[in-house]
Amino acid sequence: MFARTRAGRRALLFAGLAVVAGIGLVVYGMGLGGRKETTASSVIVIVSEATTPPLDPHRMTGTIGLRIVDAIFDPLVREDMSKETSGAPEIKPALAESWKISPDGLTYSFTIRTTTFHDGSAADAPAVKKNFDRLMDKSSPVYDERAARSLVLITALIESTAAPDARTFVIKLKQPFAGLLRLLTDQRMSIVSAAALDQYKGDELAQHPVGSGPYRIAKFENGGQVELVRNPNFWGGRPKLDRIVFRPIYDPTTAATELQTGAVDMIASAGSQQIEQLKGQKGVTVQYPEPANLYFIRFNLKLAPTDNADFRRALNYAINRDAISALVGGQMTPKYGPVPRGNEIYQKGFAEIYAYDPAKAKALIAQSGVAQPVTLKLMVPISGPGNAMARQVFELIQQDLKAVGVGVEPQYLDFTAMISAESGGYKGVNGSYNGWTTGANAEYWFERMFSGSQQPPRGVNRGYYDNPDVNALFDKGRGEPDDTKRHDLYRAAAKKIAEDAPWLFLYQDRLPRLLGPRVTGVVAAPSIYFDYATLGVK
Amino acid sequence: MTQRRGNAGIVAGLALLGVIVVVAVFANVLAPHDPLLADPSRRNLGLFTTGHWLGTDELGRDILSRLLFGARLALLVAVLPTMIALILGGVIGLAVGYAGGAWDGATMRLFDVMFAFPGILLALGIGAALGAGLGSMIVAMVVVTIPAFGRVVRGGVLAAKQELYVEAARSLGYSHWRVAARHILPNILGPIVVYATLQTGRNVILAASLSFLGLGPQPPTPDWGQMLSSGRTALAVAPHISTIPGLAIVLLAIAFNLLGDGARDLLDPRMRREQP
Repeated sequence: MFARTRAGRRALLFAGLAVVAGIGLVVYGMGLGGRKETTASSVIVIVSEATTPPLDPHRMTGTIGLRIVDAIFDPLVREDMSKETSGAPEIKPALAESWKISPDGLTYSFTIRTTTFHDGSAADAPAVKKNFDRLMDKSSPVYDERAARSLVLITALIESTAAPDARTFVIKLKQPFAGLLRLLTDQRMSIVSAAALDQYKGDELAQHPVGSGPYRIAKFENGGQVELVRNPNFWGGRPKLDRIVFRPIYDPTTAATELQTGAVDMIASAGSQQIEQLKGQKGVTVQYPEPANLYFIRFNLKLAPTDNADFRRALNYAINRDAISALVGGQMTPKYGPVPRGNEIYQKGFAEIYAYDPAKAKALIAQSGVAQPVTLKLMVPISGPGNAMARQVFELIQQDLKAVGVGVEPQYLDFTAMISAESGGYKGVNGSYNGWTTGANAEYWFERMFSGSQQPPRGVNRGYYDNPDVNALFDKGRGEPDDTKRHDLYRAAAKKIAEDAPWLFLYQDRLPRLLGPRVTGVVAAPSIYFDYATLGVK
Repeated sequence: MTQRRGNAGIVAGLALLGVIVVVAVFANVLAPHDPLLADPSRRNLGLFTTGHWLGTDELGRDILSRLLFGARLALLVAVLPTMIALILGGVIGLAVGYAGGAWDGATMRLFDVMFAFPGILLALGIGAALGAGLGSMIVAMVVVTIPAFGRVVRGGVLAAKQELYVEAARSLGYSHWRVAARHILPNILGPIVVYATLQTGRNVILAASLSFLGLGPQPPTPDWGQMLSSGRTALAVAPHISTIPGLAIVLLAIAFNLLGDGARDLLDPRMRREQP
């Protein structure tokens, strides 16, 4: 109508220009707003390398979720992330402000802090006891079968728990076990609000993660972004950040570019290409916490041909780990056995009985009697911590296996999807390519991974490895109070495990961490975790 | 004028396609290296490196060799699903278009349902259900493209059914099958050929997308979509690893599109009539 006259057309033109300018201003404003928010109101954005799992600490496996749990909850005790140590980090108080161990090594008395959970309820000794009831006491209304199974390796050591008064929590062991405190630092041993335990049962609890940690949950999209806000009542002092955002970015290049542009502040488990991409970038710091870890292909020992020990040994000879190391720019160390560096029984080259020897691999395959041609079905993660180059690494593995006459049918999966596919134990596949980060504790690492009693659904021995001799050594080692003798027993077990080759041992990742220029308070302690209480911004 | 433009398009398309076909057929002769041989010590080499003229990928494999071998798969996954979908969709469209009535209605509603899904989403769903691999990718592509072919053919049949020559054939007492196959089909072939050629071009992109998303041939098979995808990890340090297969995909798609556009100008009588 206006457009019919010249004035009308001009009015229309101005209106159009105004709209465009308006949109431009709004967009500009949003940009400014976002910028302002990240500086003035101290927010840190951390990359999640795969889908965020449900946030129930007791039921959880996988670094992605545990990293978030670590900020929301407190276990009784924690590993000290404030120092770069060569051995395992020291153990420091968390929800328990102090503890006493009886002379016979059987009774641990913890003094619980006077503090509250995020929902305002008291984080006292009865609340702690309720958490242990969830894991151990079948008659308790809060008992949860899945949570109990997931932590049985720890709770199996415990005879009973008690809360004689509001501030005292007591654990009685079945037999002395020096490694208990280390096991209690496990993020999965986080103490959940007793009120939440009463209110939310089964899968529901994961939707309401309520702990006593430095940050509490603000927004949680299932599988997606997680936002935490400061817990102003945190017992350890006022946390430095207003908010922490865990943003899922599955593509490593995108994640690195986002760090480069300042849209995210931390890639907690970085890949070699990301390091190459950001090398020399102003303000970006690379840390090498180098926690004890191992990357491997865990075999299904119930399915042919990986039920054949000679065949599994052969595969351990078939892989050129140096080539994998070159592929990731030397960011990992080849491994030929089950003992990662950083574990208390580690000695250079110990139980590393394999080498790269394709001729020997071929001979062993012939000797194994496995009929050729043979094809393995293997699951491979295409995302997740330390898996930025998993597809490429696996292509090298595939090439090496092909060279000794072994075909592979890979099934590529998102990390969290793969974990959920394998957590009930392998069915119909010969295994999966995965990595595991572990503490320094020998029993925890070896028994969780290789004890016959830790097969699913109880534990994470997902390939069903079960050697009575190894189990017997574990039983002896666990009760051995003398460190040297205990280590020797676990070393003997490690040797047998190496010979049985339930895994294809691949490498230990340096698991570098990339920090943006604003991040403060993160120290390269030997762990994939860091201290949320000191995490801050410049 | 139209004729000439069509011809020029066809010539350009054919020339481009011809080069790609020759390259694909003689890949084993032309490729300077084994396309599967990884050598991490020579990874991420740049363009024009001696011995590796297009550089090497993030695993140290020769990109040129992979590109040449990948041309075979690229042609296969463009042409084969088109042909299968053309035959299946064509038969369905011809049958229901000729028969009409309830069958026609039911089939078209089914096609409507399939159209309602974005093609790539439907293909992803089918591929995910069948498991990744070349076979399931082709099945997914065929299923997704059948409705379009069915509709094009049915549309042609519906129009042709009203023509005098069909009525004449019917009145001569020929069987339905004979009328449909011998009298209707040849007369509606033009638009079908045009559509098939254009669909082949679109299939180049669809196949590349699916294998980019990990649904196609599995590594280490040299496949353009997959090369594009796995090169992303090195995008910031060696962008050519992803860019080169991307260019190849574009060229192949352009070749089929030129061919299709040219064919439309030549074959589609409606297009010809529209020109002044």
